[in-house]
Amino acid sequence: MTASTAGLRRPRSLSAEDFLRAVPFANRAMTIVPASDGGALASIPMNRPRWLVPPLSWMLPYSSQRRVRLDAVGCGVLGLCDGNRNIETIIEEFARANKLSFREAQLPTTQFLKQMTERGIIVVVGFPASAAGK
Amino acid sequence: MAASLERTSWREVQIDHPSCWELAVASGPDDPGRLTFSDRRYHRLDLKWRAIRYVPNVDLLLTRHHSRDQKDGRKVSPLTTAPPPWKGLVQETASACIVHAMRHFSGARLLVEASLVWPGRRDIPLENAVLASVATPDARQDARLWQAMGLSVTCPWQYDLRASSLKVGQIQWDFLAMAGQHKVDKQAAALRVERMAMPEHWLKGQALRDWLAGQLPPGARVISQMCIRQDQQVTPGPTRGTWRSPHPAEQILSASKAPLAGRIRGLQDVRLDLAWLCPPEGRAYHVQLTQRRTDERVEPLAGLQVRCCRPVPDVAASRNVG
Repeated sequence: MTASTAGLRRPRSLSAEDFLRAVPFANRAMTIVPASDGGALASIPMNRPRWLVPPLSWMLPYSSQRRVRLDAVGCGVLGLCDGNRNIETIIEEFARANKLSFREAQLPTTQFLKQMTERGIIVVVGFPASAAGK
Repeated sequence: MAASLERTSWREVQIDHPSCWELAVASGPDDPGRLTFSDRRYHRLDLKWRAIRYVPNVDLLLTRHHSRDQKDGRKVSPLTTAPPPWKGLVQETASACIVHAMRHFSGARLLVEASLVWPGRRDIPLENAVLASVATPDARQDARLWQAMGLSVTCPWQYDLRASSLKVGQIQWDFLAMAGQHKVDKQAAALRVERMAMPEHWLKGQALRDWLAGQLPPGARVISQMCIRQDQQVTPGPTRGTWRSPHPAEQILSASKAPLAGRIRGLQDVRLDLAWLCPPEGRAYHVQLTQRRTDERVEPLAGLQVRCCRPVPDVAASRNVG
């Protein structure tokens, strides 16, 4: 599910409050193969572009899956993206597990979530405070 | 005032603030002094300071500020609750109350300005505690405290923080001895202090001893390597001073080639590396002293202290504070 398919409009600017309340969901179509070092290999199915037809497809390599290698720390954070925890809770749990302060945990966690969103591994669904009646 | 206060000491000032207000901006070397703290959602405190040669008329500055704000249609009133000699203005907006306060420290010749943002109810006792805590360390002391971002280092006064880097859970400070405002004392040792969270990640599964050996520059020659027991007073290599290790630590004394001009004079870069794990914090510490010398020793810095075993931040407790 993406923001566009859900009929939601991307807000112009997101407040820190709205961002922390947003909930990341893992891509259900993704498959994860655990690795021996505690990491994992995530495979995300990709749609074939409409323009990629013969004879172009004979020349351009195309994979039906995008593969992303995750280390043990990344796997731990991805495991928290179950749709029940908001970003603030994920940061708190990451901070607690690694004895970090909130800000120390916030920067790497948000960067990681951004990268995972760009790669299609997770989608972040926002619940603005105004929409929640706050 | 439920929040516990934590001290930040940075360059010319020190301040106590709630521990949930974390440092977001800290001024670099040769920049105007500035510290900005924010909680999870808002900027909460902005502290700026600058050296001035004259004694400013704070009342006149505030009067001008006040009249300009009123002309712009802002709702501003004088700050009457601040601990003297702090003076200031209170600005009320639709969503927050902003307190601007100002004070001149005559001894250090610093004009310090503080802006506190109260998005909800204004906590006057906490505001006063924060303002009253602002102090300027005495430059006549031998050593200066640098405490921010989880690191707490006391080093000789002439040492200035010239570079810092912050990665995921890793903070690194580089100090150099200054012979003047912009002149580095090349005879004195350079100091680097590093603090790493998630040591298993940064050490890449290696033992501390092996990791420390891997930190040496290419081509470095190990002079001595030793393990230091907890609370052991040690003499690192053929040096005159001693270290006291808070935890079992690893130490390497090494030498590497100096640049050509130094080599002609028989100089080499002698480096002392000391690393330890602090189990209560779950952090690894690495202290490095480098000095260009003709012999194979490093002079320990008098008064150098790197503190560990600080309490682990309680992230859940900081959720709705302030």
